Amino acid sequence: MQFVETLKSGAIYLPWPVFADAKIFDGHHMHQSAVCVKKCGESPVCASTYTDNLQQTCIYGMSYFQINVANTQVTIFGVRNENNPNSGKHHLKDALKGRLVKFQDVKDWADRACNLLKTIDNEFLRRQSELLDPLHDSIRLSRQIENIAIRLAHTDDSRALEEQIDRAPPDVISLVKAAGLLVDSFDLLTIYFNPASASFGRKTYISLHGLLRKMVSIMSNPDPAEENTAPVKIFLNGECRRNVSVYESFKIVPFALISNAVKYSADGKVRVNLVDRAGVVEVTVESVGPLIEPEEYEPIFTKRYRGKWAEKAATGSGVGLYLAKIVADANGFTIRVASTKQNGSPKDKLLAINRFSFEISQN
Amino acid sequence: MIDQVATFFNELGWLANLIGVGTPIIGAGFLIYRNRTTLLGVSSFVDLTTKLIVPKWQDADSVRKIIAVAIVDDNPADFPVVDLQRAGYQIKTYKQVSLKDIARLAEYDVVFLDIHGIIKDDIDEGGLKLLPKLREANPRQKICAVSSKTFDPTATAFFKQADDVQKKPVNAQKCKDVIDTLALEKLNPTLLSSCLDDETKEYGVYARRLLLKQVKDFAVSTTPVSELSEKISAVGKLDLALGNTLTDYIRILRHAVC
Repeated sequence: MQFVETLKSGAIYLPWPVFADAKIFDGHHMHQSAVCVKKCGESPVCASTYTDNLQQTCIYGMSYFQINVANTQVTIFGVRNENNPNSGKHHLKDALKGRLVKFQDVKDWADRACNLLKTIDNEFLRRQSELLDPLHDSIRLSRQIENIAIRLAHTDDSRALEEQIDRAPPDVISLVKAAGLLVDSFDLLTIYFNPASASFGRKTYISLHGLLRKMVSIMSNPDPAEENTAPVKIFLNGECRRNVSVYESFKIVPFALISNAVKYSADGKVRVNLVDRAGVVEVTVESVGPLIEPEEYEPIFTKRYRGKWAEKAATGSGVGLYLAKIVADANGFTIRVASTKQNGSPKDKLLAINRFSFEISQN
Repeated sequence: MIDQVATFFNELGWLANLIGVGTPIIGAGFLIYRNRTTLLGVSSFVDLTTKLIVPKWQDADSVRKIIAVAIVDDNPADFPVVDLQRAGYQIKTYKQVSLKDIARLAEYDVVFLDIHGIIKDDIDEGGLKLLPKLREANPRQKICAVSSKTFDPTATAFFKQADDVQKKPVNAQKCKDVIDTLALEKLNPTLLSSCLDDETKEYGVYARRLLLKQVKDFAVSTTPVSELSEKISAVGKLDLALGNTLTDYIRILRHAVC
């Protein structure tokens, strides 16, 4: 829970005037000093720099304290501390009168505020956990369905699973695809509700080529009737014979990037390129889709953010790339974006060649 | 007699004396050095491992014969127990346990632990409470957290404390991979012997040699490992860490020599 938001709500008792997050919050008991209002106005000079656990006297003779409350830098100002007697400065005698604050009182207040925020957070998590509990069985069942679907397709131990899926009867292929998509969607949901789960477990070596092959096979949608969308063909180019060490969550990254490219593809083609250089494997997902402005390269990875042109092209919730970034961070790599404007595209629907890429070092 | 020997040597030149006296001494020294292990016993756990375990140790195959695995889950059907037993793993399943069972559970090498529904008095978060207690009782034990509740932020501490995390249901191949990986980390003879040499380096040469002899004798005997602390006396009372490491080592040694 944000400290400043709670302050605004009035839920935290504020005995003294406080400056936090570039705003002044007047005390419920002790109001802002006339000296502070006159000399500093809305920007107390004492809050221009911050030192944790500090008690000091400002250039105008008023005391202030600085303390961290739930990761927010807080300055309590316009008060008198024990080292600042009101008999010392005659002209401040009235201004300092009745404004004595002990550092211990400030620390106690900060602790109480932190405890309140922690209690709110815990209660929020408890409720979230309670509300999400029905998901438990659905996730378990989806994995069970996937296991059964793979068992149905995997009838010959001498052949690779991907090859057997490609050769399986259409109904089995559809079942494997649907079950795979269902499991991947639940995995996305898991990271969304609990980002920490991206680094659960231990890193294991996986075949990146095998994973991409399976994903391309699942997400290729040559039959428009299947998902009621335009057919999109996904091409996988390049090879990587070495394995890479990643968390289980890793698959979310190619899944999010490829499904994003499929969703916005303007020409029905998505290219997934795999380049194995000395010690580094690079994956690039390339497609023609709505232009991503350079200033959007970073924000598109934030929660609920949607690109200006992407918003016009299709509906969406703006979480796919946000989740991909969480997983990339957990696995220790960065997703890069490049969008090259395509000449001749309509002005109200600017198109570009969009490239999302990431590199994994083979450790 | 002494006079005759003295006269004999006096009549020889200095080089002949040197060869005559030095050769048998050097020869005897060489023989003692070559057979020091037989005469004095091995001097370190690394030596003992090289001599007795390494020639017979075949990682996954060997470890599979000695590890004990526990599945603590209210729904054991999520695990391929029959497949694992057929593959030679010793598997025991527990639908529900109580905190009194910690000592017994801590003896397993690998534990698959669910968070929900496994402790009668704490249905919701029993696994979360059990995990640190198992860690305390046997820090060498490998714990794999198994649950589909990775989406639940209140369960993060449970998953973070585990050595591995798997979602249910776990298929047979995945389960075997997890068990083999965790068991090989716990029961790695080379690492265990280095660790034991390190842990016992503060003891004198005599105490260490005696410890090695007692360990070897214990391994070839049929005494259950639960009686280890009573039989091994060379370094005084065994602390928890050394006791746990020695128990694992003796199980490997017993497998190799018996």
